[in-house]
Amino acid sequence: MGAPFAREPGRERPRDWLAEAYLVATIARVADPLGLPVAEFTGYLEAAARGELRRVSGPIDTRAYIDSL
Amino acid sequence: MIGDAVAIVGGEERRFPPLTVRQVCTLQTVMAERMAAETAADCRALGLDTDETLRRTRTAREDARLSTTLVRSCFTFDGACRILTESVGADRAESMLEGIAPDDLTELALQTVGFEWSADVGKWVRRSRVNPDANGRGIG
Repeated sequence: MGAPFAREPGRERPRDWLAEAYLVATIARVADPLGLPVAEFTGYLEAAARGELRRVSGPIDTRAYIDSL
Repeated sequence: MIGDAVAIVGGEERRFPPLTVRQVCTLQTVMAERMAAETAADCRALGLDTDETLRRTRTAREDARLSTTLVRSCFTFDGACRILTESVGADRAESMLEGIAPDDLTELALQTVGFEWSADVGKWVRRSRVNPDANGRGIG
C-alpha cells in the first residue's frame, strides 16, 4: 500500500492520492482512478514508472478533471 | 483484475471486495480525525498549552494518514472490522463479519487493502495489477 510517491529516506509521508490519481488518469487514461482498487491503482503507477505506459493522445482538460472529483 | 477476499463460514462463502482508493481516503480521513480528537482530549487532560496541543494534534493527524498506520490497523480487531465494514457497507457488515475468527479478519482486511500471501517468500506482500479494461477505457 505505502508506495510510489512515498519512497524517500527518512520519515514516511502520507501518499498524495490526488496527485497519483491525476497521473493515472493522464498516463493510463483511466476515467475514474479513485474508483480503482488500491492494488490496481498502484499497478498503473508502477507500470508508468517502468515506462510501460505512455500518453499517446492529446492533452486532457485538467480543469474539468479536477471539477469532476 | 483484483479479486475479492473470500471467507468460508459454515460452508457459506462471504466475499469482501477490495477497497478502492476513494474508500481508503475516506477511511484514513476518519482515522485521522479520530486520532486528532483523542490526542486533543489527552492534551487537555494533561493541561498542555495551546501550542503544544496543536503540535501534537497535527502530528497525530499526519501519522494517522500514513499507509503503515492503515496496514497496522489490520492487525487489531477494531481496525480490521472497520476496514471490512468499509468494504461491504455498514448495512451488511454485521451479518458478513459474524462468525469469522479474529485471525481471519486480519487476513481478509489485509487482502482488501491490497496485500496477498506469498508462499514463495512466506509473508504478506503488496500486490499490484494493471487491468487494461478499467472503467471501460484502455491504456492510451
